[in-house]
Amino acid sequence: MSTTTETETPLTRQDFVTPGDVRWCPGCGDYAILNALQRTFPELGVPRENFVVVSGIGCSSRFPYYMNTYGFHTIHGRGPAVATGVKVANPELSVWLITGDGDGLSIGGNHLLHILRRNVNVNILLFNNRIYGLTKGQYSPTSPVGTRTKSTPMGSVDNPINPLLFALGAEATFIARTYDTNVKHMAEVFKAAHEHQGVSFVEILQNCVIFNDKTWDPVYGKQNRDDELLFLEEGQPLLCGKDKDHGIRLNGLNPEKAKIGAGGADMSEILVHDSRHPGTLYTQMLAQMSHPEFPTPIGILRQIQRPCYDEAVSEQIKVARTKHGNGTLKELLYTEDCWEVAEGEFDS
Amino acid sequence: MSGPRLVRLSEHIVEIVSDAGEGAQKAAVSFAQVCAKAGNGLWTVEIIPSEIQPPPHTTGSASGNRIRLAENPVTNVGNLANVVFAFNEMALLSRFEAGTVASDALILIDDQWAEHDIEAYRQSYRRVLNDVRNKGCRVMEIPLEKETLRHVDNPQRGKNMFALGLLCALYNKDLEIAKGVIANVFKKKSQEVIDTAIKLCVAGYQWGLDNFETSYEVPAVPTDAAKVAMNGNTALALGAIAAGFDLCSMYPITPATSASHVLSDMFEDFGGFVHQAEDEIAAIGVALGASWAGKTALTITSGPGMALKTEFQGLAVMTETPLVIVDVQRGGPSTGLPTKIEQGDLLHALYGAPGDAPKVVMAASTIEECYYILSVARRIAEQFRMLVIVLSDANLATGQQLFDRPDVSHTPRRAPLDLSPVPAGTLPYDWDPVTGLSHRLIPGQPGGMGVITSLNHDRNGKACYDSERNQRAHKMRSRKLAALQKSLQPPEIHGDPDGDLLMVGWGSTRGAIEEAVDMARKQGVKVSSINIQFLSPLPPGLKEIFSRFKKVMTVELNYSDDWGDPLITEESRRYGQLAWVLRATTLMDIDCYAKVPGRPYMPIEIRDEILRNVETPSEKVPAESHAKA
Repeated sequence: MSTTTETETPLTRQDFVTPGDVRWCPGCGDYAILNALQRTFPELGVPRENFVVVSGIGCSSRFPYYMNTYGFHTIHGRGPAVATGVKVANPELSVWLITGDGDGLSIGGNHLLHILRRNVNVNILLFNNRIYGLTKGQYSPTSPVGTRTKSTPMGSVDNPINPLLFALGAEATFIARTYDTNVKHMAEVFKAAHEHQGVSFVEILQNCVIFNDKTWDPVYGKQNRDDELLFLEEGQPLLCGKDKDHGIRLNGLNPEKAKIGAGGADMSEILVHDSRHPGTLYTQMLAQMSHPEFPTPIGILRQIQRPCYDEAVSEQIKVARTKHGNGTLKELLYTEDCWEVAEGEFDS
Repeated sequence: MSGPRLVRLSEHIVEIVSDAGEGAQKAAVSFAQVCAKAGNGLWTVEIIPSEIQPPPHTTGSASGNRIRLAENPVTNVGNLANVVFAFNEMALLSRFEAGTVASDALILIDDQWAEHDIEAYRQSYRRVLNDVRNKGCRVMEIPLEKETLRHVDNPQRGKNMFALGLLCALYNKDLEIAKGVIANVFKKKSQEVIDTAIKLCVAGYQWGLDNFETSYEVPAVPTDAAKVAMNGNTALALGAIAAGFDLCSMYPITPATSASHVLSDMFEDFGGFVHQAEDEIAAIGVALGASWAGKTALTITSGPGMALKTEFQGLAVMTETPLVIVDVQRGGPSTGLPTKIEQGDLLHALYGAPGDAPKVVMAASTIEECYYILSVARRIAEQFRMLVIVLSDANLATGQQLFDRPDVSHTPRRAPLDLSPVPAGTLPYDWDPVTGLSHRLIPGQPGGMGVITSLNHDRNGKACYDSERNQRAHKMRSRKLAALQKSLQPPEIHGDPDGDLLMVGWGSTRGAIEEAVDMARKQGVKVSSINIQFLSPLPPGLKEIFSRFKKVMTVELNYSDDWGDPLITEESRRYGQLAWVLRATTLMDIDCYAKVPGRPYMPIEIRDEILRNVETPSEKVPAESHAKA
């Protein structure tokens, strides 16, 4: 078992590795995500006992078992509620919520919406493999129209939800996307999510090797990724293509992928990435850019500052106590709602 | 000028009703305070319309209070009303429709409708008054509007204070007490408002002295004992603070919401917080998460909310996370009767969560208990790492009762949790094999890192699926109830320890049951009663107590099939919920009196049921209840 954290000894990845087997299917994308988070945690300057990993139900939600911290494997879709309670109870804790496309956007959609709009200072990692894995392969709310599964043998007919647009609709203050085959990028995004004061929403494109293998290959497969991924870098133009010879410019209110140079776009037309723009239109444009029409944006789409719920709660309590002084039961028993019969004072 | 003739009574019930917004509530609450300060025993119940702004001058708009005042302490709403003071005839009619007014009641009613401009009002006024006179009621038409207009321009603002004065005259109350109460009720208003209110009250009092032929004297002994009066939801809220809770997570639901409103008003001064969640599920989820992370948390709800919380209840049980749920019961199933009382959630509280989910279930039987019960619930939740469900109901929630002022000399606010390191290797479930108890680890505590899970698990908290460890974990969780049961006392018996009939109640029916037992005992019936506070685990000694009576039956405000219906047989009859539980646990043939009138039982109804179930010593006493049940 683990030993007590000693502040002098720097934490390493190994401190966050649990003894015993990891039980995802061989080849599952979750292994790489686990690896990335175990690499990130030692670098955050947080005592190990102050990490809390909360999850719902699903393959992704097995995550807490494999992080050697405090963990809570809760019930389907309800992780955001538990994580909110944890963070409000003790804002010192670094709270990580692990969810999936089914857990977070289907059964738990309501809770995800509200943790985002409240801006609870929790880091949310949504593993999006566009399938229900643990129940053995039903289409999920992010599956494209026409997905054939056991529950949709003729193909699904309902429009999928875009996780980034969902987060933006709730005006999440930090929205990012990364993918499971890029440990370095994941670790960078996780670190930024931790540093962000407020809710951080990270969509991780993840492969389910059993029920939806290669679902993201058209986006990040080895043969496609140079053309299909658009890495967002702060203050840098939105360039894509193997030779970075294409860029994104506006045509009216719509984005347009254009070749740069003679007969194409001038460099000055190419949009420059600004994740700190307070408006939502630019983020929305990025969130809606998708394969095959557009390259898929990867990185931090949006990071803005807004007061956090957990801090606001602590602050309100502080204000109340400054204004009214610490409450006493004696005062309560003299409020208008409960009138005393006999006059006289408390002895205390 | 000799004034009204004085009639002495040991108790009386008066209902004061108006259109919503006309101030009958304030008149009634003020009058109740006058009675209490004079030294009367007291129970008040709100009469609430189910819509926020119902159309005026309809039965659905009636709003006000029922006040039972007595020489001695009062434990329940009482029987049929002796006096109804109505601001219009539809409000009056609503009380007769509720079936809670005596056929010989005194009716006081504003006479403005007799000659109102609107023909329909004049007609309905005459019709309703004729009807109640025909029932046997005495009707006294009061120039409420006209007299009020002599003192203020807008009678809507002031009628109720004239009414207060009138009631003080009717019940021979000291006008000086009334003036003090008015000054307190309007203490946030200007002196002018207070002066006007007092002027109207004095005018009403004088009108009463000049016009009432008789007035009532319910003896009251001024007492030195410090007493407070509050409704059950306020008592729950203050009790939550007294118990040291840090967080109340809720979603608005009738009739539970006002408890969290009271909390919201003052909780932050104590370092607490009310979290309004996005739904009932999240409300318990936030409470559970906060509790795991070291706060003392509760969630307050009512039946439909309980249904939504069941999966999280299972999680609290499975992970042994301390948690308190308050269920202020209302009529069900589904949306049912949102503002009315029912004790319909007992079986749901006990067995609602899927799988075997042992938990503690307690019920408050008085408003005073609403104040204290959360301290007990919290202590059990933490010491046993258990889910504790506290059942209250709409009757307790909105009724007001006098009780001894709680001793607050030792404010039991809890010190911050101890997060000091635990030895490396400390397990999240170091179950004691005898009691099932284990130590709680809290995030932030060095050395205690580990996962807790909704899956079956072993002592180390890790998921496991084998039969042996599944059986063991169930056993450990279950043993905690048995261990708690060892510390409980058998219930006290109201009446003799043996006899012909034992009435068994739980929750807010206690006062009415005990009063009914007292009435029947005066008629020579060998009947006693008990109230069961712990529904899970049940207190010890029940079987032994039951065996000393020829017949045992529960009294509950929930549904049971009637005997005597040709379709209903011994095999098919569905019993009241406590009866189910007691029949199963004692293997005794326990009957029930269980109905869903949507209002509290009157003692006379229970008394009549007692008489139906025993050989009456002298003659068969006919049922005299007028109530529609």
